Amino acid sequence: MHDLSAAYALNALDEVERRRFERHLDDCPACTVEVREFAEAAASLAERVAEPAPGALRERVMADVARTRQVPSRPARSVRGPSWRRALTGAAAVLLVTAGAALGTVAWQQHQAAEQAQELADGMARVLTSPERVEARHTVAGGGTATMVMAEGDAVLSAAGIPAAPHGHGYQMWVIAADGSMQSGGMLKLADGDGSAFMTGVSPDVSLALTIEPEGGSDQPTTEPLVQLG
Amino acid sequence: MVGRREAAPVVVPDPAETTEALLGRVGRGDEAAFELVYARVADVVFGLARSVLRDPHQAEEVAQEVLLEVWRSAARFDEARGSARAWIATLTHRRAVDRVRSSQAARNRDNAVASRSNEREYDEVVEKVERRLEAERVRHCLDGLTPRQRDTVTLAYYGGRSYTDVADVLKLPLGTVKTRMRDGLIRLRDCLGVGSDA
Ligand SMILES: [Zn+2]
Repeated sequence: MHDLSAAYALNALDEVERRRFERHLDDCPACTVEVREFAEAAASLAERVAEPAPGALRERVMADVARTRQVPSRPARSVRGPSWRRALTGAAAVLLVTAGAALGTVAWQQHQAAEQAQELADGMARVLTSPERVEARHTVAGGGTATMVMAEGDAVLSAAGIPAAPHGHGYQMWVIAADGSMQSGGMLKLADGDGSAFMTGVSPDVSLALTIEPEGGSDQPTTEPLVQLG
Repeated sequence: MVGRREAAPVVVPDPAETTEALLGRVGRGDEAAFELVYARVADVVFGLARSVLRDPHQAEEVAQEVLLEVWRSAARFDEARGSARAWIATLTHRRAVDRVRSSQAARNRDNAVASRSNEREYDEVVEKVERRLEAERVRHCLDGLTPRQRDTVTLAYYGGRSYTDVADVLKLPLGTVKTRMRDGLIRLRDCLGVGSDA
């Protein structure tokens, strides 16, 4: 799916693929960022084929405008319970949130989940496009690659081409402090071997690791890290 | 809040006002701001629609629809998700492509003929594109692509072709076309320096 962002930005997908990719975009911040960047590049291509619009067009458009009602802006965000974003930045400890995963036991409404995904996407976009970003990439033992991008106290961990974990197990993320202590970053949600997580409140001297753990996660790693970044 | 409407302030057009800021005003019903947006983008909207549709009458119809859509949904434009130029170019390209594909679907294509004329259309697209690519930056960046990357990107974008069509015209496997499109766009993006924070 990730390899379709260019074709999507060029409108080169058919109707079915386009819709499928749009659903993918809902949970894939990396593709969301890429599509935005590609759209900017495409706009440069568009400007190169500008040609004088017929004079009559302006009058017709203005006549349409005079009788066309506008769509209102999206309703203001309703005040919701504890803001996960604020909860995260406010927490002293490092927390990781897997993109698209619901937080805690709160049953989020559909639109709240969408908002959450959007905020995650925005956070990831900030990190991935920051001029100050620091990147580290490494192969993962067992297959695939993992990339860490850090900027201004936020970080994105992405994995690609990771084999499925053994039955009943998953990939758990770890934040390793300078003193070697390890703190869980939660489970990394993968779709077709790819997944990304966003974390905030990260000090620049930590490194990140992935281990295979039983599905619910472990308090401390029970297997050797498959990859360590930073 | 007073229940009475205050007289609208006189807004002097500021040539330095960004299109994004203008769209903010358009979203609040400001027709004067819309006229300024129109003046800035109409030529790109029309030119891009014409590039994809070729027929100037159809291009004009699409341009009219797109520009009205800009008025209608300006309040939904979100600067955090991309620039005004990207938003409008995307609206235009999407609509032009939808129009081209629906008329293509309606046509019953003879494969042999289609394949020949595809090649001719392709040459026309490339020629037209090359004739018009005047701005040094984009030309320079397109030059930085391999010829194959350039073919796939321009055929898809200026020609409004789906990647399966592009594969057909260039006689290439689908996977190859996808890869070239992606590599080409990445190179173009990096060369133009148009990250999402730009
Ligand atoms: Zn993706």
